[in-house]
Amino acid sequence: MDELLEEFEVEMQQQYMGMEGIDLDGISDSDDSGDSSESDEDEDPRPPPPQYPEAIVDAVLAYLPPMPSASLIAERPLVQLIPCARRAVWTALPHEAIKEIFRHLPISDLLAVGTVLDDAGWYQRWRDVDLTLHDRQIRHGSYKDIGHYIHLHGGVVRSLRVDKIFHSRKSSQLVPAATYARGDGSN
Amino acid sequence: MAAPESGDGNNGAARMVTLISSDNTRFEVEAAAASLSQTLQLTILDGGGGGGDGIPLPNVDSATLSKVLEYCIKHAPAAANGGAPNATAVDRAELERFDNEFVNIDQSVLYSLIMAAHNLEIEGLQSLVAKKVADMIKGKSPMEIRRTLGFPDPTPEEQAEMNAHMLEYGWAYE
Repeated sequence: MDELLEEFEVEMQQQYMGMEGIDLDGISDSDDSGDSSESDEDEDPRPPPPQYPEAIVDAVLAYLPPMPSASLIAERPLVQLIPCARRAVWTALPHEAIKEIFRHLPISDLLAVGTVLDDAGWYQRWRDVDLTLHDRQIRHGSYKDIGHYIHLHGGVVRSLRVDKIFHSRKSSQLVPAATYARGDGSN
Repeated sequence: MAAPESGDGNNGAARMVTLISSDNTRFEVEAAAASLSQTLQLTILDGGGGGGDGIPLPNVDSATLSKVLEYCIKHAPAAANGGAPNATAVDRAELERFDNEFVNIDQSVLYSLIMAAHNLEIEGLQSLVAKKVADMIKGKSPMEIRRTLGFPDPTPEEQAEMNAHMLEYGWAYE
């Protein structure tokens, strides 16, 4: 250990001597009589301490999710740079994921969303398969809404399957969840 | 508490499996938690992922995988009980609170989670993140939805088409 320290000191001294011996063209001549204290400060022989740009570290830390449970902490380095692009490209969502999102939207919102998502290709992709409306969607709509909705988007009712029946709060009317298949648009 | 695995010789100790993210970070988790993924379930049942081996997940980066596993670890006990028939109201409330906080995240992370949940086929997580996106959309006007999801503003032609659509089907938005 001592040997290592000695070696390190010798190396530092050599570096220091080497820097003193540097011929600074055009500067050394005039500096001889100038303010030596200032030039001594400029020529600090010590290597600069490692600089970690705060902005980058902060960005990386902000980018990482909160640390998970204890069993995972040991496996994760404190800070790591992740090379992949993590931008939300909603238009690239897989079809199943889009369907899952639509399942959580009431009919009224599906109608509103349709025009926007059509541009992104979501809507078309959803229409290309059998359309399943779940009870949680129908709960927010009426038969009239659903009928309009299907007709509006070129569908006809091919089949009706009751998944679940429940009583609505106001009228105790039976409201089934239904499965429709997209038709050819000819009503 | 995850049920002890039989057949691996560890009396009472839960079986652990190793998952390897796309950036080669290794995660060791209980098999019961990892088995929430339909994709991983068969591999784990076949004895994969244990010992020095790991199950590589080339489509999921470490940041996303850690988040996914956080979800799996939290939900594994309830899933082991076959849903949550035995869970107390407190347990259910705790899970619900966890879920609400879990999806309170940046859009890019949410997007990564959707993709990961889809790739790994984790049904509960798929539904949770999809519901979050639906909540982001719900009740918004078409223009607000565009801005929320970061779609570019419509071209004049698209705008005209939208206006025509609203004229014809405006009733549906009321």
